[in-house]
Amino acid sequence: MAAPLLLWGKYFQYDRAGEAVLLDPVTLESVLLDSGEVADLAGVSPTATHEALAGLGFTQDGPAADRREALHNHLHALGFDPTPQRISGLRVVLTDRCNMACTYCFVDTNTGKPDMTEEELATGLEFLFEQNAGQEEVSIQWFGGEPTIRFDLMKYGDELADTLAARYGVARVRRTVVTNGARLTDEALDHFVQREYGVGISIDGPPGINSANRLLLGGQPADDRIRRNVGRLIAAEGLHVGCNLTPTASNIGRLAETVRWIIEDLGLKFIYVNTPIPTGGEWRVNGADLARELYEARLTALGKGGMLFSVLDRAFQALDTRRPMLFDHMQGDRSLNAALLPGNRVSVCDINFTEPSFVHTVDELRQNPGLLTVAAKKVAPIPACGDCPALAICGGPSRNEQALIGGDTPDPQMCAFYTSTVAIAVWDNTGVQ
Amino acid sequence: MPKPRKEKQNHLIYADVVDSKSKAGVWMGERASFREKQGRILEALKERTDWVELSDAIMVISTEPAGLTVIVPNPTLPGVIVLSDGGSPAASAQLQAGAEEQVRAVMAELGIAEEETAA
Repeated sequence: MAAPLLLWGKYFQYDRAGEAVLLDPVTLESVLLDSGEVADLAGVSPTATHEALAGLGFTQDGPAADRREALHNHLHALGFDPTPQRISGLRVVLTDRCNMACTYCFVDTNTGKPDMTEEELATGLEFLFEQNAGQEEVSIQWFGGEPTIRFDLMKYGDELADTLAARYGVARVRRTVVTNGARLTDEALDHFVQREYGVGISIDGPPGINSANRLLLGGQPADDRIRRNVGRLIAAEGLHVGCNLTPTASNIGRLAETVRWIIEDLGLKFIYVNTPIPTGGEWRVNGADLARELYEARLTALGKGGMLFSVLDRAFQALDTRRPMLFDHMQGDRSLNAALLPGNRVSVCDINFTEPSFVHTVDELRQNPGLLTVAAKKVAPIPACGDCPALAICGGPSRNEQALIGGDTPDPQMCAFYTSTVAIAVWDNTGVQ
Repeated sequence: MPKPRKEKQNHLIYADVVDSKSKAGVWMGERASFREKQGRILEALKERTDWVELSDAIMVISTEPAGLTVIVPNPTLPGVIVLSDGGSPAASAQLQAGAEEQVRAVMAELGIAEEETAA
């Protein structure tokens, strides 16, 4: 994939087979030129194409501002603010105990640290509902370790959530659980159905792929067990069941095949591909390859009657809607999903439970809501972001990425990933995405 | 005339990937209604247009170049309709030609003769 040229100091020009797409990286406007127009554009200005482009807002006037500054102005004009206002959802980390030992897990599992207590869970849920009094919805996601190891706490928390929702006038509680699927009791299944759970099962692919990084504690694969339990979940009425797929060295290069297997063999039609987290201080996958593979895998899923979502969708949604898509970990209403941890602690980043600047006690957050600002993204933190076509789609590393990689400078593979997503999305406006 | 990208607010299913909600776990509250909505839209369109029922239509999706090709038996004539959208004239033409070639190849394999159309 050739790097785009910079046209008139402010637009990126993607060329392919004589045609071109011009992209304004700040406003996210883009325009397709056919081969005649591309030739015309190279002529002495003003040609008909120059004039037509000017009519569409693509002008030759020099850039009014540095592109990073222009993006900040644009975000301001759109009313986008990176500062979270409240916590609207909790990922509840019940235990770090897990029956599996996956090599890439971002959670330190089986450390021997105590599980969450009923009292701590009650304190955390009370905090969540009081913060969201009168709101349409709060979300609770049971997480671990393997959360079903503490199914007793899940049941307790679900019942308490109903009471709290009524007390604080919250219309809906959205419940999900992230599980490895290796253990599923009848009681848990009935409970999930009764509470209309969304069940996300973490699977990396067919047995040969899954067992490369996802094994039971004893070192043996759990694939047969997981397949059986997925079947039971799918057969149950009223459950939303999907797959959380993590790109690893084992399935990169085989994502489309993996997706085909998940849909055809396992019977799961909804797949979410996790975004790489630089837990070891860097991205472990090739960003450009990942973008291409996600694209192919998504179309494979669509072709099989399934759906696949990933961070690649950011590029399509941003270009289609002309709206920046650069805030990580924050919902559109400026609310956060945070993580409730044992010990009455909350991490304002739901995928990092250890970074000291993210972790506060419930009381501290209650007394000082300003602590949420630590999750506010520093948009386009380095000058190189101003030269990037993914400026308003990536926006630079999240606070979590910064914490993990130890600075403002994005991992090169992250940059390659986002620039590749843009290069893919500018050429696909067919609407199936 | 340079062609601005089509605006689109309603992606296949609303799943705002900016939201960390969808970053891990399954959040499919929106899933249930989209097919039903599509059905309602089509029913409403049938009231406003002249239409014929299509059966056995398929939509082929490709990544090189990106695009869609709808292949459908002509409901009234002995032929197969091929309609491609690759997002640009060149890509659409490439997809169209490739898909027509595939139809011809399949016909040949099945021993179905192609008839020259009138000039």
